[in-house]
Amino acid sequence: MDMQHFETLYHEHYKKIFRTAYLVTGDYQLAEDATQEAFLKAFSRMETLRDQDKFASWVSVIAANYSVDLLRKNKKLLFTEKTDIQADHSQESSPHDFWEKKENLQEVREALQQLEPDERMLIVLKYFNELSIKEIASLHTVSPGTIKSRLFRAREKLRVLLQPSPDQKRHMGKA
Amino acid sequence: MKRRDAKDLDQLLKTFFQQESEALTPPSSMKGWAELRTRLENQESPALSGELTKSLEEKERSLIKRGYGLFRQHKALTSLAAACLLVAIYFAGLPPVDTLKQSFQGVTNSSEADEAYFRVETSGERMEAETPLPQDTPDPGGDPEQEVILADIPPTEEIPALEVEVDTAEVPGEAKDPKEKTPEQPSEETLARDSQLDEEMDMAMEATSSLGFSEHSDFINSLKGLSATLIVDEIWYFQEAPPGFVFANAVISRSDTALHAVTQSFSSSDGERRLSINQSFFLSAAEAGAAYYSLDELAVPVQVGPYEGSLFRQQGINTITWLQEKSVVSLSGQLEDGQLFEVIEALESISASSQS
Repeated sequence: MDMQHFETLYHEHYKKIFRTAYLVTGDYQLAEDATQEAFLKAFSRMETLRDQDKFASWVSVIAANYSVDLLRKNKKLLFTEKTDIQADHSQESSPHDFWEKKENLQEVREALQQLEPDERMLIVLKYFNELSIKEIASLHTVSPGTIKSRLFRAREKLRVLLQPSPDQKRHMGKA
Repeated sequence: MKRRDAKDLDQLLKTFFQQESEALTPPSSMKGWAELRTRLENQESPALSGELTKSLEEKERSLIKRGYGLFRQHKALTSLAAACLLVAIYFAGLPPVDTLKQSFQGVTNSSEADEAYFRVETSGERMEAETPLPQDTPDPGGDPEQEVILADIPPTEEIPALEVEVDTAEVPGEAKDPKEKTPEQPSEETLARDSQLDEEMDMAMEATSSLGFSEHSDFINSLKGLSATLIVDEIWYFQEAPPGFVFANAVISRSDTALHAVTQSFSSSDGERRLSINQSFFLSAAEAGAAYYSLDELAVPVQVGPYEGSLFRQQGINTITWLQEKSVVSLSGQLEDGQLFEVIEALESISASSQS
């Protein structure tokens, strides 16, 4: 084991991997655990990684998988509170304002929390880690079509959760 | 409108994640590295010692099995040899074996010699060998003349002779002169017998009971009722039959002190496809690892949650096997890879912590 090399890799990617894990788990402690386990696993199986340039993507996927698993094991920490995110849409004046406003709202976070952990994992890998569907698929050893359909379902769910309420739609229609 | 929504949503998510990650302060990587380095350094040595221990255990087990196999294979000859020996002892005026054992102790009064004696003479009965004869064992009251005869016989010469006579002279394929007899190649019968011996040895070592279930609810209740002390690793099971399948049967194999395996089987509604999950438990991570890594090397490596797994494709049956800390889980069925992964996602688990 080349500890020097591992140490360099660890410090270089730690923050990004921790953030990936946090965005999936929504829990600081679980994210820390998932990050450690992911690096441990990665360094233990370093020889199986063919393209060393893919290290970051690879560890991100491992960390995301660990995060999902930790969430399943710690079911009490699942995001079970289902808040009515469509309750407060009365202030937006246009579709653009609506989405823009959402950027600053808790609602996006809550919508993400209402997804299943593996759905959230895919969203995080796609939009935070900016991995392509092909990359996610190859790192999960499933077909790109499978990832694409799962991602589509997750996005649809998010879109519905973030959809303006009927009142908001009426309001936007007038604008 | 929908297209625009989708595009906006992509942008919204990217912006959201960017803001979230910027607002988050990760812990120090220095502290994390110190901990990880220790774990990495400790990871190699236990694995190595585990392998060595396992190797020694395997050798010991193999020897016992071989001895037991020879005995089973030549039971008649062994019995005949023993009978001849008893006749010889009788005609030589020596006491029977039990008396000989006790008389020997009386003459030599050496516990070390006793142990050596027992180890050789009663090699098929290890329990006895490991139980030292009490020092205050009463003198059997044998004939003093016999004791005198016994005292004249050096135990170190007499005792091994018994073993040599039984083990080598009577066993085909073990002849000392290779010109007289060529060693036998293991036949299918021999292999089958070895396999049977394996099973018998396992059964002899610990009595295992297998509980079969034809009702899914009974199985679930029994699984959830397992004592936390039996659960050495997270147990995966289907709370509900996967879509398109109905419960067929389930088996829980266990002893009083350990859980050995859990199997849950389903069949498709038309009865043409099967799906089953089997989890085998081991006493140590090294044993589980050995069982896992002895599987087909041609398997495709996959990641199942945090676990290292393999995908096997054989004659329309796909099997995903993954290694946990002290168990190996196999999910097998006539399903596409993607469907298998989806089925995996429906699995639920029981752990020792959830039971306590």
